[in-house]
Amino acid sequence: MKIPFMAALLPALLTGAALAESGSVIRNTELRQKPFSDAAVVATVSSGTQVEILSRQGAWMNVSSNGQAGWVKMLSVRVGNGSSADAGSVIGQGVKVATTGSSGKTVTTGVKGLSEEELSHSQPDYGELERMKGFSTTPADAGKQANLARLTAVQVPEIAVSGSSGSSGNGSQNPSSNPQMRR
Amino acid sequence: MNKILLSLMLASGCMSSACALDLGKLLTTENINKAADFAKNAADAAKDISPEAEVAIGDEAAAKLLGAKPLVNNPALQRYVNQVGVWVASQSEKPNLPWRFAVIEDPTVNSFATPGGNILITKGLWDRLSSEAELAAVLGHEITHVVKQHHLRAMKSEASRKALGNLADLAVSAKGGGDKRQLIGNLGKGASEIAVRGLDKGDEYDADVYGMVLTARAGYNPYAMVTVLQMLERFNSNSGGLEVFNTHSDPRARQDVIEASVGDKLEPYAGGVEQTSRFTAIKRGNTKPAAVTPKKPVKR
Repeated sequence: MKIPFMAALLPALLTGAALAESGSVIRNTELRQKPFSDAAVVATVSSGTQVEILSRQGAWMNVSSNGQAGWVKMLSVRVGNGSSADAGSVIGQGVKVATTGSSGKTVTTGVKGLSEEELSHSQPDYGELERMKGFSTTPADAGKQANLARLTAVQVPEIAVSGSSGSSGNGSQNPSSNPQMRR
Repeated sequence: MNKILLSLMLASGCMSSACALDLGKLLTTENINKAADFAKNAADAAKDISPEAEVAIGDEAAAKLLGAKPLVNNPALQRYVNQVGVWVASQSEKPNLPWRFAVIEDPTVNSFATPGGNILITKGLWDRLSSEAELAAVLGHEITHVVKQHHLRAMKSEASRKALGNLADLAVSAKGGGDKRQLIGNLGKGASEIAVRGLDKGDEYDADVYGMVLTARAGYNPYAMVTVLQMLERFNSNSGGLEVFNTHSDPRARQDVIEASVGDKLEPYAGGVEQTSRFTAIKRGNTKPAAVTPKKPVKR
């Protein structure tokens, strides 16, 4: 009985205000009937096509485009009303936006939150630090609670980062030229 | 030890641009040689720093961050993020650091890590997370910064770059004897500044990819990381770029790197846990800790 209630509650929790989510496909992609690589192909959508995002599951995304619904890989879609839908230029923009100066440091302009300036005016609050420590837990307890939440540890090998070299940000990084990419 | 601390202190000695240096005066042969020595020490510092010092620096940095933004007054929420955070951190190479997690009172969307294992996420970010897998992904990202000592390395490289400019400061503090507490305080300040200002893009990408691995190891769907990035992307475009996810790189660029690095390698784990009842209970504001009710075996 508990489960249907939770399921009914989930959508409300999920996206909050922005329920109608849209995005664009960043390469020619097959729209599949089910979220599996070997599922039947419903249609082919070309790079730059706008899609409406219906849901997500695992590594997949359920989208509809031109009246046709189907599943694509989540990483084949970039959300938002993409200004430029062309994959190459999207990547170029991304790198440009993320780089300030030559240091490759991330953007810090236009910040309204916790800033360096705000920080420089603050005094260390050791009482709050102690309170924070009071909420901590042990690996053993966290493991027990995780198991109650039906989580079990899995062996997963480490993965090397690729496609991120060149912090100069000239936009020449194109992941699809990476030999590891097979899509 | 003191030497290491001293060379690391360079990181926090000259953060502001007001700290301009008179190159002409400093550029004597003797000083240049000294600077080279300090840069070399600084380069070794992160490697040599003891776990205790790392924790002390991290606590100082966290106290500073908490001084600016206090904890959200919700003990159930604070305990819950520790349950999830410690579980994810337990899948890393450093399960036994004093890991601590907290949600701080800040409406923007951001997260911070300090050396030693303190991880803070803003209320604004917590409010926008929609599943425990997403929370695990965010925490996994920050856990990676700690495990791989990205902040210590940033302090170190900051020190190398500023070595020349800090010669004068350093000479003064060396003469003064330098009290250890003060050094730790300065280092903590430096670490908190780096936490707020952000790390190199390469470290962010590293944290995304390894964060996904940790998320998968903890039994969650690792592609929740992508969902979070897409949430941030949506958030950025909706807010006209005013409240950017400031200390982290552009979400699109990050997805590009994830695609190039991870691609479908983690798809075998994509069927992992997405949502838990403890997450929805905390979101609903049901403050009764899940730990109190396990007596009743879960049905079905």
